[in-house]
Amino acid sequence: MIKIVTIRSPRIVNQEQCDAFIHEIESALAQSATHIILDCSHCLYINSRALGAILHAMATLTARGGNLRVVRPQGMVRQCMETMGMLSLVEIYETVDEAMQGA
Amino acid sequence: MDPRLPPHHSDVEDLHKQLAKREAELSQLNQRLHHLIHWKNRLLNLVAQDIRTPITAIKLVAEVIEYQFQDQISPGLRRLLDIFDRNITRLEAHIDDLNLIANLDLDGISLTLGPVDLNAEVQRAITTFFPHALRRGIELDAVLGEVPPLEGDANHIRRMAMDLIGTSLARLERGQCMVVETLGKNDGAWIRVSDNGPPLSQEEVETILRQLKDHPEHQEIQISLYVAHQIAERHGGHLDIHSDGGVTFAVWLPRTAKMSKESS
Repeated sequence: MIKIVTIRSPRIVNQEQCDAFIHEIESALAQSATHIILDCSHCLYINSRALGAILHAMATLTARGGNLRVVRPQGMVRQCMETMGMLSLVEIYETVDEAMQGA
Repeated sequence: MDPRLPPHHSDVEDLHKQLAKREAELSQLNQRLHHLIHWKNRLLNLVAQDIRTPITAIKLVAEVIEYQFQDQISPGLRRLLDIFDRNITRLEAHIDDLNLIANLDLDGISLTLGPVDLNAEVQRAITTFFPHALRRGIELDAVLGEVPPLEGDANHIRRMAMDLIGTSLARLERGQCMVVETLGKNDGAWIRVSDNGPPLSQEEVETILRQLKDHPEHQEIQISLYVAHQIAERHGGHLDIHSDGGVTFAVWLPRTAKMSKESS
């Protein structure tokens, strides 16, 4: 059964926002989400711990036969994902609606 | 010949000829020196390139293995992987040092001045270390403030930020964290890298700062710091170290590079 959860990333995911952001991802996974749409269109920065949680989500969703969809990663967020080699492993969309249609 | 007598015209001519000959010899030696430096730099660049290629391949294989088997990695194996990762990063830093040495001219680090977007360069430096921080379970944060446009060598400034971040990362264990900040003032900007790793005593801080001004000891932390210090100084800035719970490495860069000769 397909279950899609959309998570909007805060503007900055640093030490202060990281726990709440990771909790949101983990909740989605705990609710048996098969696809997570991560809206990064307003996100300026994600720290390494949050990126680790995203990578873990990616692996979990793949194991469930689903995937992680990332909406408009840009600037430093895109650079980080590129450095981690994530851009070739996730689906990139311009808008949340397009990402929803891809499910 | 009586030294009280004025020199003969022919003696003065001889002296001039000898002087001209010595000048010509000196000019030839100088040319030869520049030629040798050029070939030294080329050789170092080639060596650095040849070493970097297999290291990149080794790192890639390790990353793939770690990603594929991440759920099966025991704590013991994780510690071994941390050691592996730390040493690969150290090797990469040494290669970067080789490249930097390859760019040294007779005045020290040569700068190519131009406009510098400090936050962009610091961002690039941070993202370079993301995989490393992630693999080692170290939280790497950034707080990039408003900074004025600077004049400097963008590549060297990025290199300096990487040296500070790498130095801090090398000190940290799994679960610890570090923050990279930029802070602008009217006449320049600060780059600060703070961690919650083991503190340094005042004496240790003073020893490191003193050794930065003299010739560095051959320890990894001080080679990277020495390079960062040299780049800061060449731009007319300076490097500070504070320890209060953890350690903060901070570099001040003036708005306009005031190039100085490298201190020996």
